[in-house]
Amino acid sequence: MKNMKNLFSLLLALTLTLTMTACGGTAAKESEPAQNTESSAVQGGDKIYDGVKLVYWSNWEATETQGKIITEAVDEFMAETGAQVDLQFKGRTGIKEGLIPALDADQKVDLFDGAGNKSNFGDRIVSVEDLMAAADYEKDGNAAMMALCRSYYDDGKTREVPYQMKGNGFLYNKALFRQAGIDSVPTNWAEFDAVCQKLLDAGITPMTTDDAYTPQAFGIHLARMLGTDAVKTLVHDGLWAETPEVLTVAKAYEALAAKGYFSDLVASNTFPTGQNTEFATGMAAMYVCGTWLPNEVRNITGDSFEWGFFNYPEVDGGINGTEAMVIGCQSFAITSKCDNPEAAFALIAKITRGEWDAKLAAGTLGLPIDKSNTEWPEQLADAKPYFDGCTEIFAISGGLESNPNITPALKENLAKLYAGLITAEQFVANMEAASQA
Amino acid sequence: MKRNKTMIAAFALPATILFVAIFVYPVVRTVFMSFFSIQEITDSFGSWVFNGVGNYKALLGNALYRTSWINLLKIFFIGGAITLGVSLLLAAILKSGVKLKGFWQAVIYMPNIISAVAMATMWTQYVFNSTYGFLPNFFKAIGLEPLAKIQWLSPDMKFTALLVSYCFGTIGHYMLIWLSGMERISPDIYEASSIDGANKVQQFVYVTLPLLRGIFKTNLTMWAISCSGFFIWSKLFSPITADTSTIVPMIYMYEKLFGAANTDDVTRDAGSAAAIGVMLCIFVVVMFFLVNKAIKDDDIEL
Repeated sequence: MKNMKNLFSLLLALTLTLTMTACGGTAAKESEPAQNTESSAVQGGDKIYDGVKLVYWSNWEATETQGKIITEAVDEFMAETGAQVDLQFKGRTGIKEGLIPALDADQKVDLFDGAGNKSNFGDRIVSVEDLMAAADYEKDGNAAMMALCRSYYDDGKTREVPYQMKGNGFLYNKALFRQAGIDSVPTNWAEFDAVCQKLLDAGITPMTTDDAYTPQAFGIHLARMLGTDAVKTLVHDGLWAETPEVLTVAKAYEALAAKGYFSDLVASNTFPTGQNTEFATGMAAMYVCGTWLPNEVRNITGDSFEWGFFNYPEVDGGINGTEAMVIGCQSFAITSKCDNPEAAFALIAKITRGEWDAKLAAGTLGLPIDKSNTEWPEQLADAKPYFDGCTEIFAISGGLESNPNITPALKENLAKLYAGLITAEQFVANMEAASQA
Repeated sequence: MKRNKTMIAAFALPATILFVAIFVYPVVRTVFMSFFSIQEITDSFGSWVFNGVGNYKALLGNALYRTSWINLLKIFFIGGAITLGVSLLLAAILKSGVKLKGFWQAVIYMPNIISAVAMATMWTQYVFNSTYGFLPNFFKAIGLEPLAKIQWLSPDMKFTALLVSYCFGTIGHYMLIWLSGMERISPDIYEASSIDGANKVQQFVYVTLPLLRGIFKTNLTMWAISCSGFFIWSKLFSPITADTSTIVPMIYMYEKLFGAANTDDVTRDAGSAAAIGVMLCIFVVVMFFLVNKAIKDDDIEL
């Protein structure tokens, strides 16, 4: 009897072990054919990429407008070329957190999209220079965007293809401007001050912001005075007190706060409160942000909102003007796992050129990357001259957010400065202290 | 006897292998990684550069990282006092025979079954919001204008707002644990103390509290673990980029591991992130040790 018990126990243990082994084995077997399919093109079709399978990870959600339009473009690409595209919507965090581990685990991903600057991917992504040259792709491209994408890589060869261009500046409510009797946008600081005063006199809160965006206006102002590289240096080296321009800009914002140009709620606006409940609802006239804003708040503003855009005004003692601005883009990249980069690039070109680029821009109230798509969404039409005339690209927030260790202190002190809770001198002292600690 | 050992080994082996693969290996690897400069968490070992205690020194020398620990300790001590104190009080009230005990128990516990994301959004957008939030409008309605003017999400108040809302969400959980401990105490003890002339307060102080030492130890340890993993609430109170008032080590670790937002600097630092993970682990172990040292086990047979 005891022997029987032992035998049963042994059988049970074996069954358990084998079951677990079998589970692992099944998964491995299931994935094998897929890998074979992915890595080899089946011959014999009459379309250019018959039998080619591409795995495309997108940083959009399937329910977002971008996701919907990309899905349609991919469907058309498959019908035209015969390629099979496994389009997977991973969202921003899916790409940010999951893609590199997936590639390192030898998971097959041929191409992906996401935020610009993918230099942290290293040799996990490949240069697209030859592919672009072979397709004469750049002839319709935005030169500034291409230069930006190349600037991320030491050898000057871009690993990314830009699309969904964006830029930062003052988004404003034209109806409120008209109500205040303002018929032109400010081009310099004195005009900006006058615009704010007119809005205030008309009973309109001139501007608001959110905690996450507080460094944008201040940073661009500083970059107007110092240039974006110098701003990055001061932020990294903690030269707040040693750089007199910091106090100058802080004084300019102290003055704006003292005149009541900022919303009373500016210190407590946690993203997206300011943009949603103050700017999009017409309670404040201006908001420094990116050109993605009309799309982000379209469900609040509806179609009647009259969007305007102007680049950050020129400032006294500045070394650059409205030809310099914060612009950037989303981008595509092809991974080193891709067996058919030509097909992957053809898909990228499909989405970023011609009809689908125009559809993406129109559908998302975004900016086309294809030069031949000259029609910009009405909401962002004002931004086009600035983009066309842009000769100098600022880093995000003019470079002011280039040190993540100091950004939290910066946000806190800027919110207080905008709310009139601290003086310009206190701002400089606080930032100096935060950098030295 | 020999066969039994084989059998034990046969049964223990799968679980042991899983335990080693799922728990031991990641812990050992994380500790190991913390002594290297590594960019991505999955970088091959060949690209790791030995850095000794460099990651630890750099982190401890960083003001923002130190701030994140100060915030964590404030959450642990102040939040712990609020959460454990209020939950104990509520448990005592429920145990005292209040009417509709089951209903109140469910109401107090309810925040725990709602997603932390939904809860935090509710607090930031619908309670603290300066325009239409519940608190400003409530204080305005009852004529307390100075309180109505408080901007709960301003830099000086944000930590308080975060702490209040987090504690609100967790009180029910700890209350249930206290309550389960109280249910274990025999009614005979209360009856005996009552005959001896003890009132309700005296019963709570001299009977209930001493008999809840084991539960207190459990709650404190669980609170330490919960604080060390504090992340979602902080992230939702400071979306996109971190704030000095709400940053905690897990947020700092996330930014090291996956990069910060709103910046052109896309470099990552998995080695430092591993060092933060090790320090958080040490925090829990130290708290566990101190709690065990400070609070003796129940020495009364219930």
